Amino acid sequence: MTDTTSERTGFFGKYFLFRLKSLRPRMVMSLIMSLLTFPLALGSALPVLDTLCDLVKEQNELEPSMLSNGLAILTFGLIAAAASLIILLFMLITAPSGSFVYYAKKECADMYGALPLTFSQRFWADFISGLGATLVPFIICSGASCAFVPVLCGKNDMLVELGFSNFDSAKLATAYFQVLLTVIIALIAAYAIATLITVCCGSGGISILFSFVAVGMVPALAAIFSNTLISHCAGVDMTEHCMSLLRALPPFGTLIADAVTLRPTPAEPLSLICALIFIAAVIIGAYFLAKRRKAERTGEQFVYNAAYHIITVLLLVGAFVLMANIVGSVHVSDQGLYIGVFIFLTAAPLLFFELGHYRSFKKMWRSGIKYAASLIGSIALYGVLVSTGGFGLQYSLPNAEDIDNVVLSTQDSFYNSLEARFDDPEQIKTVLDINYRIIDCEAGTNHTSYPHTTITYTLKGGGTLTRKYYTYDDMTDTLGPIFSENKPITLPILDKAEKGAAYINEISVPSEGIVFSSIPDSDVTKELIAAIKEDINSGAGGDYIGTMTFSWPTDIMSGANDPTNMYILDERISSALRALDSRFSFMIREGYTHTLDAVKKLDKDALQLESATITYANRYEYQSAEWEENGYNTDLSLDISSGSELSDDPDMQKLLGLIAFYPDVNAMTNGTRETDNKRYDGNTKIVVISSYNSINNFMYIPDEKQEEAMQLISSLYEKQQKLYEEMYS
Amino acid sequence: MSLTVNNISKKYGDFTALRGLSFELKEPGVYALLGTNGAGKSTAIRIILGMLAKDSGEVLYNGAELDPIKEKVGYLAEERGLYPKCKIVDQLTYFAELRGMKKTEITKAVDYWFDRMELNDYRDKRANQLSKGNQQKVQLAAALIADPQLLILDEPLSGLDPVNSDIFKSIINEQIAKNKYIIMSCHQMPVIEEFCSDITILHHGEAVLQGDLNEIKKSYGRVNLAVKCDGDILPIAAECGLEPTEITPELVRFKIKEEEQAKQLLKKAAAADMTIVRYELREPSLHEIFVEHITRADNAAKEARL
Repeated sequence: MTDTTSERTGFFGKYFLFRLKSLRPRMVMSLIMSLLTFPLALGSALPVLDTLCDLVKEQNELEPSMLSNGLAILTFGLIAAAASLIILLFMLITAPSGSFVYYAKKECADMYGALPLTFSQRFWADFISGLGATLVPFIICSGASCAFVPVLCGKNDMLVELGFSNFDSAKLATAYFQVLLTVIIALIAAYAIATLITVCCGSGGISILFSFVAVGMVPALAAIFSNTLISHCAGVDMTEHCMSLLRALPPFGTLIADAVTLRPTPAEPLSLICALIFIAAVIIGAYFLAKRRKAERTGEQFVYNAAYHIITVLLLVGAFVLMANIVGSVHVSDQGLYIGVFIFLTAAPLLFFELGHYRSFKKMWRSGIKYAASLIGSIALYGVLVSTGGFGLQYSLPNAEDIDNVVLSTQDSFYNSLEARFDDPEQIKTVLDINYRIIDCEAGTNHTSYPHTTITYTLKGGGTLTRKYYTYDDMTDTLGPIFSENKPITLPILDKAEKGAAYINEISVPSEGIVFSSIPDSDVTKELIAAIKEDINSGAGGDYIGTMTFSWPTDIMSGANDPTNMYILDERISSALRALDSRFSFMIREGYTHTLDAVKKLDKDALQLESATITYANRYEYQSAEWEENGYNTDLSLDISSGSELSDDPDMQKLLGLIAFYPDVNAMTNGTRETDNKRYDGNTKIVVISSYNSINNFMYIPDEKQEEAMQLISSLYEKQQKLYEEMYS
Repeated sequence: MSLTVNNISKKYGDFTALRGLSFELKEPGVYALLGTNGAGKSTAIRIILGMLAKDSGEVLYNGAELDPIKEKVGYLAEERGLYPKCKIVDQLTYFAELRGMKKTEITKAVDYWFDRMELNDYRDKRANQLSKGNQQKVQLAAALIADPQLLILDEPLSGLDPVNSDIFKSIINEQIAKNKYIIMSCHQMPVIEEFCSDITILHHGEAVLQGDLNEIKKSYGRVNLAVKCDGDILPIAAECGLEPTEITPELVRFKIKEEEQAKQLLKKAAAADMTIVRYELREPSLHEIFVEHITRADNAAKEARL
């Protein structure tokens, strides 16, 4: 009559197998979806890499259209993989309501309750069978897709050999497994949370609804709170630290960070362990709540009302904190509107849920208390966050003795930047002191402008910590003394230009009458860069008197053999295929004597006038920002080659002597800028374009000397015409 | 074997579902749990089976606390709870396996019960393809397949057509013949009277009447008189102080206070030279006893409130 323990163990197996068998349709569905995730995504990348390898081997030039088919396949593959993964997630979230159907249906409760199984046997069998039916096919398919990884690595290696990519194959394989592991943990976490909610609910529909809410709430709250925390820490970079915070909250946080950055980065091992502990705690919590569950409450909305209240309060708090973030970032006059919208968007759903929960208006006063308490609590939390700088996070700097080196860089609003690395312990302490002083000034600053001062600490343990401060004051003066202590200054753009990967696009020093565009000559560039470096290292300062703009192309073709090439295939492939023109401006200061000497020498060389074109510019009305006539024309053109008779002509020398006013060429051509408070009203008519070594030098004749210049030009023109007649007669 | 239920109570919040229920099964047979809707019958059954936690009391099986997992208890639930998308042959086999039966036994038992329940045409059908009555039959088969000693049937005949009702009744009789201990909850009084020896009538969670059914009836005495004769019996009945409770072309029924009244009526009818075609004197029906006790309990409750 009575059963032995071994028989009962066998009963568990029979029950488990029977439950698994009853989930066959789900397993088939999961298998199909699983094949459309990683296997499809990896498989669809193969045609792209294949084509890329072939094209690069065979051709020097690469047009985006050559990869369009492959990209279309890859895009489809990635979208299908993402959609399938989402479907799998939905399946896992809804699975517990099916596995634990007896928590919602009384008739099933009687049937299941009468089975000769202990509570533990039934719970674990239902839990594991529900999870396994969906997850096991996914793990099998994803594991099988690992066969793609060596193939992809092989093709990637081929590209690396061709100098095409700096993406490490070992990193590719590691990233794949790490993403896979994170996804699996995320799926288990979603199932565990849904199980906990199902145990707390007594109705199938409610358990599914709140399972979705709870699973979605975890990453949403992580994103909201991490963003709120970071946005009120002076110096803590929003994107970087939000992402690092999210990665510390695996699995959902890691996946969000990876999806936002499109760059799979592993979660820290410790964070993964914490995630697993969290999942274990959820499962154990579900087990013990299920054990204490009162069977007579089957069919009620919530068996454990605390779960309902916890979820709704957390949702309200998250919404209010989000509201505070958004309201704080809009104009004061708009804040009332945003607050009103948020009140409506939070109160209306709460009213709906509370009415469904209490089934009566009599108890709705409790809802009012809950709403008010959540609002007040959220405001208080937000206030504490703001006043403490993210619970003191902004003051969280390493100790000097833990720092190996620190890189300090500053950049002003003209994108002029200086950078220095310090290894000396005393100077590290100085930089730390400056950091704390900056924090005190920066606390509460609205981060809307470009970061001006960046401090990156490399720790002796190997990690790094970066702080970026949106300082309004020009920190170069403050930091000048540090830079002038004969420590080597690095400016990445200068290194790039020296290696030939960037060129000087324009030099403009109006006060000296110097405006150049496009200096492709590498020797000239190197001379200029050497001069710049010397001035920077000397700690020179003074007013800004000019700009030097660098440009570099980032298309694949020109970067194929470029060791300093910055674009990489592991970024968004479409953008890597577009030819981009990047620019970097460097401000020339009054004290940059070496730089100015080098530029003036260039200017003087340019006046050799290898060839020159003197042409009319139309009258420009600054006030109306319009040209009198249609733009810039060449009504009169006077070509003068260096070494010709006219180059030594006295009229030419006089003409060149009249050139004293050098407005910004951009203002002349588009009339949109004002340089040195000079305006281009008036009758500026003559533009002199000289070119030397392909360097175009724009020179202009001041208004008061136009008449004299016109007479000289007319005289020179007549002389040229005579020379031509003599030449061709 | 004995099953003893001692003073079990259960509250759902402020509502008392059961208050101090006690009864005992000492001998094989059918024990009936009767009551109005919501009286606590299913609650009592679920407490016995361990599906609901009791607030107080004990359920003893052979002197020890009943462990439904260890002891083979067959249970037919009131509601249909089969796995909807599984074939019934698979489900029956599975339930048999869970009860510890060996494979050879299972095959025989499954075949037997499919025959017995006249369900051979439905072997490979899924549960959700069967009618409620057929599902009920499958559930009964599942409850009996392991030949349990203790059987609990919650509304076994509800929703069954007359043919299936007869099948169920014959099966119950077979189980009685096998000396099984059966607890049955039912609303159908004729069924209870047909099978049950002991009853408990529950009302608002309390037992308002308990004991052997025959003795209960005897305690009321034979109070129902039905007469048919070739003349008008009513004047004679009035002389005897009897008022008819029901007059039909076939019969006239009277409620008597004592048997002497019935004898007097018979004498006077004979003296009036009337031919008695039919004369029936019997105890009250279970239905009447049930209604009387429930009404009495309700009236007592009303008076207590006033």
